[in-house]
Amino acid sequence: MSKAGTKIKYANEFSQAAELAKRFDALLSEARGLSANVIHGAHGRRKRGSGETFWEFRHARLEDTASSIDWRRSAKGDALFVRETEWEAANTIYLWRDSSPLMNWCSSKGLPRKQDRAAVLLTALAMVLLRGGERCMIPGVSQKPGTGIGATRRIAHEIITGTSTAEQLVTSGLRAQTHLVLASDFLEGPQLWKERFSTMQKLGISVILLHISDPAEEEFPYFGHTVFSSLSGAEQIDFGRAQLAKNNYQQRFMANRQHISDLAKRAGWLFFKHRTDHIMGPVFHGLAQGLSGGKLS
Amino acid sequence: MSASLVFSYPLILTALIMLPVFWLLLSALPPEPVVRKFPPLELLRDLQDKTASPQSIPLWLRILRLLMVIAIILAISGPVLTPANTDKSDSPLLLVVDDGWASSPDWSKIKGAALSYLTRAEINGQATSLIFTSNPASENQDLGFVSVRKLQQQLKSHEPNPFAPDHGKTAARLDRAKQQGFADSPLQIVWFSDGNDYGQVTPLISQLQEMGDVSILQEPADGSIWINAVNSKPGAMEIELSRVHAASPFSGTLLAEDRTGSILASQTFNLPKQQKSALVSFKLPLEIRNRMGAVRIQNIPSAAAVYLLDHSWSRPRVGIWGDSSRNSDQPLLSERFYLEKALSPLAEFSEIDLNRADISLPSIVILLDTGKLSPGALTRLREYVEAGGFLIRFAGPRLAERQDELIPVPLRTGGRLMGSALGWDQPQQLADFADNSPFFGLDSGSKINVKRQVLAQSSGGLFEHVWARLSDGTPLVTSAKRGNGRIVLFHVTASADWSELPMSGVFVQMLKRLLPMASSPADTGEYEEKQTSKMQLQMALAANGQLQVPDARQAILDVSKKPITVSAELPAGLWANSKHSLALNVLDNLNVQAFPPVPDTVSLGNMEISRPIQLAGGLLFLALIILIVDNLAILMLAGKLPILRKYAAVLSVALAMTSGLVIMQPTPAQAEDYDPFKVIEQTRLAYVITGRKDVDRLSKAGLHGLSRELYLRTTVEPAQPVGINLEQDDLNVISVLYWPLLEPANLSEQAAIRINTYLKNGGMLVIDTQDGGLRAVQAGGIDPALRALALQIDIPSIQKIPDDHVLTRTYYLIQSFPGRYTGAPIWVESSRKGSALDGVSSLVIGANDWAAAWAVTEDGQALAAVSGEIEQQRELSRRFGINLVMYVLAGNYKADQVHIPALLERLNQ
Repeated sequence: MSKAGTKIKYANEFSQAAELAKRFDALLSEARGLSANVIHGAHGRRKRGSGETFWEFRHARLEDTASSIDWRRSAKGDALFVRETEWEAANTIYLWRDSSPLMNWCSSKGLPRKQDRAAVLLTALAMVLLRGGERCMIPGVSQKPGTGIGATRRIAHEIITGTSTAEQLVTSGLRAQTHLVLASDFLEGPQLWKERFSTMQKLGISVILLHISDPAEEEFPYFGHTVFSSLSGAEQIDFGRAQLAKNNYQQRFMANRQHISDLAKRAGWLFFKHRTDHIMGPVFHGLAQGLSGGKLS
Repeated sequence: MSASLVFSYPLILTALIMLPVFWLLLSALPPEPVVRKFPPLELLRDLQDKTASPQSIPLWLRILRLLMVIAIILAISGPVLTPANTDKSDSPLLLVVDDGWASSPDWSKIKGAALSYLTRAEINGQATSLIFTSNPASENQDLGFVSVRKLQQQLKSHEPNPFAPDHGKTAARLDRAKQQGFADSPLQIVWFSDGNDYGQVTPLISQLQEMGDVSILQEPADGSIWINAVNSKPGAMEIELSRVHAASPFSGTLLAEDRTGSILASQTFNLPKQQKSALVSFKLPLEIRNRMGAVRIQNIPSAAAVYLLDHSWSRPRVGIWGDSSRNSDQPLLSERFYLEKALSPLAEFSEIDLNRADISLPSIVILLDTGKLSPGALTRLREYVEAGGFLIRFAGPRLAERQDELIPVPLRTGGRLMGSALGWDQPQQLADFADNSPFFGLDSGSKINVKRQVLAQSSGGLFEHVWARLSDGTPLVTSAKRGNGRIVLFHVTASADWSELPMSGVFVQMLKRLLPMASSPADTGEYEEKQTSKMQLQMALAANGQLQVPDARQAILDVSKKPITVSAELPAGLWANSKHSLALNVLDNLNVQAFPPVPDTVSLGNMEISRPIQLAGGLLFLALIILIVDNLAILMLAGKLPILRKYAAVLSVALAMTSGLVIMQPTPAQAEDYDPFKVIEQTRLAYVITGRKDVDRLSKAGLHGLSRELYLRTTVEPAQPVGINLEQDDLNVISVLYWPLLEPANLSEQAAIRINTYLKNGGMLVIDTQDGGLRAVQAGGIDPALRALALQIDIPSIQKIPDDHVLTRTYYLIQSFPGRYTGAPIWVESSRKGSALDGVSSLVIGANDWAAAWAVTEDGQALAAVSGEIEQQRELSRRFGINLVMYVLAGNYKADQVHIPALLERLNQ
């Protein structure tokens, strides 16, 4: 796709995500577990640093600027004091979208591609998180986590245009004891995903799974003589009467999804499913709730 | 009525045997598979049902396709539904065909009907004969029974004639044939009539009845509409349209063409049901009207749908000089009155002043009895005639006393009085016109008395100058060449004082002959010896209404034989000789009426009945429909129809947006309550409500600000400004009206009249284009809105405001007139002595956006920025506003003060 085309696409999805994010208040993810690199969102580190809460007054040093001196405190005595605040830091949430070729498809021109829909949902999530003061990171894409509203554009850009496969995610993109939101169509087979999930479990990552599907994948609305081909066109399967295969196909599809869902349940993770022809509000609300550790567990 | 189905190519029907094969073929061929990309391909593996045969075409689609094939085969075999031949008579058949002008538009239909009768006669073995009514006597019409094939050829090659059928001659011809033993036994006679009666229908019917069974077929068509007459009225040409069959409404277009056939003007007309005639008028400028060569009903290929106009229809310009009794208390007896009455159908006339050298003289000058011409006028007139002018003079008592050089023949002084109380001789009558006179052929009228005239001195060459004379031989109209021009003298007055000539129709006819001569006045004399009554055909009118060069057969028209009706010998068209041209139209001197009631024994029918119906087209159309349905069905089976649904959605969205736009159309600005009585109580400034909210708000705030400054600084204490809706409100109580003119105003006629009245009655209009003169520069000089306004209202001549204009000193002394912008010039009425306004300009036009500079909020804060943000500029702008209001209210009072030093000086003396 040309550069200009990407830009337009990006702008389009960014605005969609912004629309979605507007409806939700700032969200703070609940801190889960304690670990060395996860810092509580609202709690200080009992250490001086950047933050809002007062920590201590210290004597001014030569390198301090005049404006950093607390003149009210200093006026009480002869010495000059600088007001220090407590170091406060936020959680880092990893947002990852599957960009396998299978995701780059839609059944009709009126529908978004699966990967685009996933990108919109994740971007919206990132906006809400950044607004809430959390840090967001796109594994395999981001060089450093984004913090604050100012990073919204960069993170959104990275979600929408960045690509990384599930293999890259598992092998290089993950760090232990983090939060991960993972959007995919999970069509590469339950076995493959089971292995990946176990890797994540071993790292102690808490994951929220988002299953994205196209309506045609779920409903199989095909009729008559049809040749189904892979996206590359390399493989073809000929059906004399496509409608005859409908029931069997649907059973397999549901079973696949159920399998992923079961895996998630066993690991204690959250599982959401979304169809590209449905509205995004409910599933986004669910994701946000899940991240904030609401009623769902 | 029973009907029979006939196939033109029955052999093709054998193809229907192949249908079962086609059926099998359809069943065997599966539809093309659809290729779809599908990501969860893994899930589909091993799901194929190997036993299931591929999807085949559904039964209903197969039947549909079979139907399509059947329809195509049937269509190719040419099925024709023919009405059953009810008359099986074997008596000889005589076809009488009207082939006049009215048959031309429907000739193919008439021909087809006649041909179908011939075909039937061939089947029945009848003897056949044919006669055309428009030219029954011509030698190539053998009345006798000939073979059907020969008659068919004759019919096919025959074309209608551009004149009316002659039923009387046809009857005579048939009678003669009967005498010669043409039809011993009763005939079956079919008359294909054009539905019109030219006066001889009844004799023909009775003649036909003598010969056998008569049935008459008529074609009630739109085409039988014609132009009955063209009347030349001052300012307009009136065209009379007529028709006989008025069962259906008719609407069409009338075209005015010049002699080369280019269209000069067009005019639509409507004939409602049951209305048989209509009057359409062309309002054309004289120059264009004079170029008219024909009037034509568009798309009616008939010779009577064209009306040719000869040169006598053009209206020359005539200048009249010397109206001695113009201001008399008896205008109905004045010469000018008679002349105007006679000229008004022929020419455009105007009064000219020969003493003014700066106006050019028209092609014809009529000189009434003027007395002595001034030397300048005489010279001028002589030069005019010698340069090719055409001068018509009327005698009178003054000419009788004193003649000048501009007369065709020398006159005797005093004139001649006939039939008076002291005279012996009786009043003389007008003699017949001689054949060397341009008036030759006019009816001189027996009862035109001439009581008094001026007399020509008899001399040798007198005879050739005389164009009309009295019964005793004294000249009444004389003429002579002078240089390239010509002088014509009527030896009587143009009023009824001396003769009855000006009251007679001959007078008009004579003028009608005279006026066209002005185009080449000097030529007239050279052909005076030739006969003027014979004319040759220049352009002939074809039956379809087109003008064409006539064939070699040269017809000669003798205009002295009256009445002239168009016939094969005298075709319609443009006739001319060296002097005159004459347009001969198809229906000249012919009366067209509806068909009279026919006797009961004659059957009256319609040509439609006998027409066979071709079914092939309908069948092909059916096959096409099935093809479309089939394609849609294939699309549906392939699952591609949702695309259609999507486009429907796009369409509905577009529709909704359009309707939304319609709803969001800005509503016109609501006029504020305007009560003239309220306005009159106190002085108020007024502004025009333009309908643009921002502009109107600023106008109001601007005038509010100005009113405020006036209140603070002067004794003018205006109330709140008032908004004016130009379309509704009464302007008479307003002293000054501020008009922000940003775009061309769309004034109604009433509004324009109201503004004009307002300006005339002493109102002042301040027009502000509010753009600093930008649009004027862009438009290259004049602001487009102002240009449009100038077309609607009477804008007096304006000038850039002079340095010493009263407006610069009515209150403050100012030299510039800034508003939001500065520097754009302002314009005022250029005449300082404006008639009704005591020198006060009724217009001030500027572009500096004064309202913006004056505008303040309710609590006195300036609303709009001025260019450059100089507070001084706002103050100067207010000073200009105050000066403006003072100028309106106090008029040129300050201008008077200019003369005070002079007045004081005079007082001291």
